[in-house]
Order: sequence, then C-alpha cells, then structure tokens
Amino acid sequence: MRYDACIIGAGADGLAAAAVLAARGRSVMVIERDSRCGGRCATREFHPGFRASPFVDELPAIPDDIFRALDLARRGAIHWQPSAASPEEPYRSLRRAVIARAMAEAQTPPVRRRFRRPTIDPWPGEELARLSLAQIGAQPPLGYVGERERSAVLLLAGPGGGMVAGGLGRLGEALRMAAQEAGAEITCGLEATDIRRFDGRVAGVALADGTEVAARAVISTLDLKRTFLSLFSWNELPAALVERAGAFRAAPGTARLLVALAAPPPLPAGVAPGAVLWSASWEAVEEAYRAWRRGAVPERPVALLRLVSACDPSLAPDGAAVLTVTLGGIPLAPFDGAWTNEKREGLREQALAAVEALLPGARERVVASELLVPPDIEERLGLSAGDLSGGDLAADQMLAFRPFTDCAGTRTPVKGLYLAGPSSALAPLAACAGGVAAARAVLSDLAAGRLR
Amino acid sequence: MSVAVDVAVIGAGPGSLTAAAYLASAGAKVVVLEATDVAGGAGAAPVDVGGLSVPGTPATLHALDPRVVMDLKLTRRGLRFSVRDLPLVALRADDRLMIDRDRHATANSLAQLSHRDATRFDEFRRDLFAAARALRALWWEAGVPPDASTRSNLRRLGMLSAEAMLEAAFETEAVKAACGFDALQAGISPSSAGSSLLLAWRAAQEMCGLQGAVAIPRGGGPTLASTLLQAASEAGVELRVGTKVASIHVDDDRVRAAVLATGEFVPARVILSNLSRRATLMNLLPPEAAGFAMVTRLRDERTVGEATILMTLNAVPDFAMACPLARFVMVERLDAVVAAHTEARLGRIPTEFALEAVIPTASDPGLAADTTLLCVTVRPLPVAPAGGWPSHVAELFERVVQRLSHHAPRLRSSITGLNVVLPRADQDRVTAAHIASDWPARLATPVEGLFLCGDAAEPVPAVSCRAGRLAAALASAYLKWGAP
Repeated sequence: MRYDACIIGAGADGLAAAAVLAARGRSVMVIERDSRCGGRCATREFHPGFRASPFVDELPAIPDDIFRALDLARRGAIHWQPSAASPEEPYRSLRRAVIARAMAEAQTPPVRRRFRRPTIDPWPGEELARLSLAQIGAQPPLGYVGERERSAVLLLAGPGGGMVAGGLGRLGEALRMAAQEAGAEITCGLEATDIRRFDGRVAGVALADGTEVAARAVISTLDLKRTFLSLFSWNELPAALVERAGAFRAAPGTARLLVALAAPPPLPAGVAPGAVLWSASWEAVEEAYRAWRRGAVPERPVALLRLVSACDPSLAPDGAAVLTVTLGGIPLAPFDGAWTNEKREGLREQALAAVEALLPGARERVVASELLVPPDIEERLGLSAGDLSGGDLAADQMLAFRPFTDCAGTRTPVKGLYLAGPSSALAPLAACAGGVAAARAVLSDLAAGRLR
Repeated sequence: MSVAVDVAVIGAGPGSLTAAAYLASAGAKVVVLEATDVAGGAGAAPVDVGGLSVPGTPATLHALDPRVVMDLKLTRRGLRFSVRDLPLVALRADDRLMIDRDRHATANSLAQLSHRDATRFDEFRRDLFAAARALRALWWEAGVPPDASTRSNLRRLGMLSAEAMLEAAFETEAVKAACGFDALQAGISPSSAGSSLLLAWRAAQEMCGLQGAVAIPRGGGPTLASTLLQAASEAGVELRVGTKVASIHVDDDRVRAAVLATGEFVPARVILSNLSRRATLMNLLPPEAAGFAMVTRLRDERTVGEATILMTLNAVPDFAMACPLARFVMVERLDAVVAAHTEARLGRIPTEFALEAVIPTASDPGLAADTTLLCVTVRPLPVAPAGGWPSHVAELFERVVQRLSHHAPRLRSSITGLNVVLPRADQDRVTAAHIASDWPARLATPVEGLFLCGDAAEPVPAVSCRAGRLAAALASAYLKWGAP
C-alpha cells in the first residue's frame, strides 16, 4: 500500500505530525528504530526503584492549541509547572509570532517565480538575532554554554514546559495514543535506512529488514545531518545541499548524570523544591565553551541540577530522591581519544563535586548514579554529535535560516521531503510544533496537488 | 556674526574635505571649521618616532573611494601608490602562509597545510567578492534600490558570524586565522551575528582598480590629506583652522548656524559633521533636538578598538627578509581572538591579541632615510582599560615586541624608536544593524540640514572619503529642494 506520508522517528514531533495527518484522514506510517515510542520523551529505571528521564527533564513548552488539539491532558500528560510564581517571560509574544509565521509559511509556501528567488520578508525575531547577549545585558541563560558575544536569538528557545507527572515517558505515551487513536500506524524496532527517490521526488522509505514503505511524502524527524548525509546515497543529492548539511554546526555537547539519593538533601534557603539549581557565571560558561572548542572536558563543567523527585515523588521510592545533573560543554570526542572508563569516572567525579558545591550534603546520600556522555546520547537517540539541540542556536542557524536559508520552516530542497526534527525551525522554540508544521505543509501540498 | 554660508563643515578630516570640495565645485559657498591647527585629520600630522618625523597612521589604505579619486583628480594632484596590492603573509608558530591575488601562488602556499583548503580558498574568495559586489548597491550606490537577491544575501550575512563563515569554509586553523584578521574591525567580535559583513565590506572595496586590495600611498597618510586639501581649496572652500565649534544652533528642527567656541555665529543652511554620531548629536545639538530615542541609542561608547605601534629599526626584521612587501598577520587561532575580544570589552589587555605588521619603507624609502619603519596594528584592545592607558603602554610594547620576536629574534636589539597611536576613544559603537543599514540612513540625523560625513557615516570606519561624497550629494539635494 502507498501511504500519504511516512514519518521517520516516533519522537514528540513525529507522533504529533502523525496525529495531525491521520486526524485529517490521511494514511500515515511511523517508523521508529527503538523498541518504544517517544524518543527523548522516555523514562527509565536507572537503579532499582529510581526512575528518571535520561536525556532531558522537560521539553520546551507545547503550544496551547496543539496541546488541546491532541487532547494530551486527557491522555495523561499532566504538566507540573516548575515554579508557578515565575515572572512573565519577555520573549513569549515574540516566540508566538515566530511560531505563527512558521505555521503560515508551512501552509502557504513562498511562490517561486521562474529565474527569480522568492522574496521573503524577515521573520519576527531577526532584530533580536542581531543583538548579542552582552548588548542586552543578559545573564547566562539556563544551561547555556557559550560566549556572551553570541546572538541573543537563543533567548527565543523557550523555557521548559514543565515536568510531566510520572516522567516524560508519560508524554510520549500520550502522544502515541493520540497518533494511534487518530489512525496512524506505528512500526517500532525497525530502522529506516534510505529514502527512496523516483523521478526527482521522494517515493518512500527503505527499512532495515529490506522492505520498503511507499509514500507520497516523507517527514524526517532526524536531525539535519542524519537526514541528508545518511539517508541518501552519497551522490544522490546536489553537492551544495550536502555541503550545507555538513557545515551545520553542532552546539556544545551535553552529559547527564542521573543520581539516586538515599534521602532528599537539604535545599539551600530560598530554593523551591524541584527548582533548577544553576549558578554559572559568564566566566564559567565561557571557559567551558573554550574547553569544548579545544575538545577538552572543562576543568569545572557547568552543572545544572534538578531534584526531579521533589516535584514528582513517583520517580523515587518513599523517602529517597532522584537528582539529575546536566553538564554543559562536554566534547563528543575528546582531543586525546574516545571516551574511556577512566574519563567517564573522572567526569562523574567532577559532576559529583559540582553537586556537592551547589547542594551541600547531597554527596554522602548518593546510592547510585548513571552517566551519559555525548556518544551515549548519539547512540541511543540517534542524534548527530549527541547534540540535543540539533544544531547550534546561532543567529544564522535559527528562525528562517534553520535549516536552510530561503527554505524556511519545514520544506526541504528535496521534493516531498519535510523536516521536523531538532534541526527544524520550530524545534528550539516549542515541542511538537515542528511536527505539526510539517504535517500542515504535507496536508497543504497534498491538497494542492504538489505531491503525486 | 560672520557672513552666511551655504554649507559649514565641522572638522577637516578626509570625509569633510571631500564633501567640501564636491559642494564648492558645484557652486556652493563652503567653510570648513577645524578645531586643531592641522587640516586633514588624524593621518595628516607627522608622528615623532625616536626623534624621526614619520608620516602618521594609517600606513595602508584599503577603502578609498575610486569615484573620489577620479572626480577630485587626486592622482593628478600627487596621490600615487608605491604598492597597489599587498599580499597577506600569515605567520604562526610553525607555519607561514601567503595569500596573494595570484590564485595559483595562494593555492600552492595553502596546499602545504591542506589540499582541501587550497582548492576551497579560490571559491571562498570568489563567492565573497560576488556577494560584496551585490551589497555595494546598499552600501553606497546612489539611486539603485537593493534588489531581492542583495537583500537575501544581506539577510544571510547579517546573521552569520565571521567565525562561523570561516569555520564552514576552511578546515585548517591557519587559514581561518589568516582570513580572520580583517574581520577584527570596528570593535565587533568575530563571533557575533553579522560580523561576516565586515569581511564582505572589505571585499566590496576597490583600491587602485583591484577589488579587495590593500595599497600603500606614496608619502604616507599626509599625501591623501594634502591632495584633498588642494582639491578643496582650488574649488573655493574656505578653511578656518583653530576654530572649535561649540554647538549647532537649531531652530524649528532645522540647522541655522554653527556656534564657535568664541561665541561667533557662522550662519549656514547645511551643516556637515565629520565627528562621530555620538559627539555630533549629544555634544553639539541641544538635547531636545536629537530626540530621546536617539540619545538612549547613542549612550554606549565604543569599548573595543585597535592601536598602532610605530617602530623605527636599523635592520629589516627577519620575517620580512624574503619579501618585505606584504602585510604580516600574526593570529594564532581565531577562537583565541574571540576570547581576546571579550577580555578587551571588559577593559583588560587581552592575553592573545592579533597583530598586523607593515613595512612602508620597503617600497618607499623616502619616508625615513636609512631606517626601516615598522607599523604594527594590534587588535582587539580596550578603548579605556582599567587604570587608564598610560599605565598599560609599557606592558603593551613589551608584549608586542615579544610576539614579533618569535618571527624576528634580533628585532629587540634593532629598535631605535617607538611611538604608539592608542585606540580612538571618540568613535561610535558599531553594530551589525549599522553595517546593514542603507547609506541615506547612516548619513542622516534627526535634524533637517545636518548630515554626517566622516567615519561615523561609513558602514565600517576607515579612510574612504565615500561618506563625504555621499553627504555632498545629500547636502546639494537639500540646498536645491529642501527636505525630502
């Protein structure tokens, strides 16, 4: 059977896209490499009785209309707001304007006249992109590793949407239900190896077991490099396109330490339970960034702590606690060779020292811990360079320039191929929005007869 | 009150002399008011180096407007170039690269490090030059509305940092660092969004008929000043030196007169200012005339600049033995310079700065008899370091000489004289948005009849005279038709 759309990857974006397409009566097949759906929306038991979301604690906020349309709350994705008293965040309306713009562009593609490039008006937010963080006097944003001369556009990357009761896996489950109830088919445990093309347009997806899924449109939720460098044969695409995908810069890598604690540590005064502990100065984040550029593990990694069990007690046994540590500026491949056990132990030691510095008394309560370094994230999530953001959030890799200049939003130069993963324009701003934008682009192209 | 004039020009820099010459030859009555005793701007006065009087900075020109040279007949008045196109020689701890207009020579030199970069370089330069040519329409060409592809180019470059541009283009650090020196201009960090426009702007220039060339004027900076002065006075410009302008008299949102420090009024219909936008709008205008929005925008001063160290030597430095006619650029790593920029912005002398050394006497021995003159440009440096410059000058000298000594071991013993031109404190802060703005917006002010004609109106500050030519066009249109 020939599907209307085949979606590679059953993460939040892929499942949201599948739900939107299936709800409009289109036939959809979702291909997932892992045995379970959800991608980074996963929750795992890393030590008997202790559970945590291994890759991220929370996704960027899902836009309200998408959240309601997918009926996620009824399906069990209850978000817990990290701090109800958080002040009104200044870039909210700008972020909404950008999302609205990207959605509009997905629905009505820019008109291409012959011999002429389409003229595209600047996106909202480009004024912000021209300013540096130093110019607007910003403190280092949470979890940021970089220089203060960098563009302020990364402030558009929204604050998290809050933790999900029961772990992020619950959100993945809710999205899977939304997609399946709408009528999408999901195949887990099978990797997509190739995107097949026929007559200059996408014809389907080849799978690891040798079968093929024929489809009129393919939505890839892999990152840009994986999509264009590994799903096509080496000489199939124009050189400029391959070069552009290869030159897409990755952000500094992330390491995660999941820590099981025998008892919750005493919190410093004034810190709400479950709030994020982050005390990095500009000097610290710039130093970590420079170390990363050299391929070295920073001497003092930038650590972001979160006592996840304080807001979601179901993650830890009674009386115990779970702490996640996100370390910024960790190289994918250190300059002195691959990650060895000694290097991992060294990093774990550094991370625990950072924990003790921010949360005195936590170290002696550690029962067990699990460390994930960028190669682990690359392997488990299938993200190039283990980069969770799917490409550096620099001014030339954000907004209309993400992932391609003048190919804004979700369409790609390959006819019938749409991009919705972490490298798509909307991914840093909001969860699921990239998937929904891709689905809307497919729907509009199907309706207008642009896809045969 | 003195006699009313059509145009009063504040300051006698290259930009204002150009504007004055254009306007006077079009029939306007022009007076130039210069506060110091020397006309011609910073480059006109000779500098004392070890008892020897040598022409001041800049030693090289890379942005002089060819239209100005032609219209004001500067060549006939004596502006000649001893070198039309200096190659760039990048000196690093263990490699030496030569980047020349001859693409085969360049490729040969780069191929020692990387074959990929050797083939890439020509492509990179061609693309950059093409983009730069397209951007000229926006930067200075009168009456040509930027077309869609220029705008699209500009939008992309306006977001791209020079660092990312070079990272994407080349694989070896040496090539990135060599190309990166030209991106270290105007106090903008190479990692900030839009800094690739600095490279494009350099590439858009045309010196001596060659795109993106760096030339050495015969006789140094004063030659340009004297030829401009000659052109202006022949056209009938009245020059008043030692005349400081204290304020601009504004009535009904329109300029009426320049008020001198002596209290004298110079009534004028148009006033052109060679000073920075900040100095013009905040110090010369009454506060309400500049407008609140403009004043808040201008509150910040430039914090990062560059210094030039002039040295006289009794021997040619070792690195210049083989080919003395080049710009010797010493940048170890591009990302270290980005870090240096942050340090400079915080008011510290950076640990790793970038150097460019030029030897003007190699092509023009008449500049200083029997000695070698070495001009070293140091970037990035704080405009106002903590504790003030006087306490840091000795340290800066020492570190610059140390850096140079890596490539010229006998340099220290051959120095006969030293002088330093410190970073200029009177410049506007340049942002990517400023570089990306079109030229009428850069020249205009909130007051009718007042235009900028100096460095402040250039996309990137440099000796170019272009803002003067464009300001003259705006001013004569205003004299003829009034405000648009």
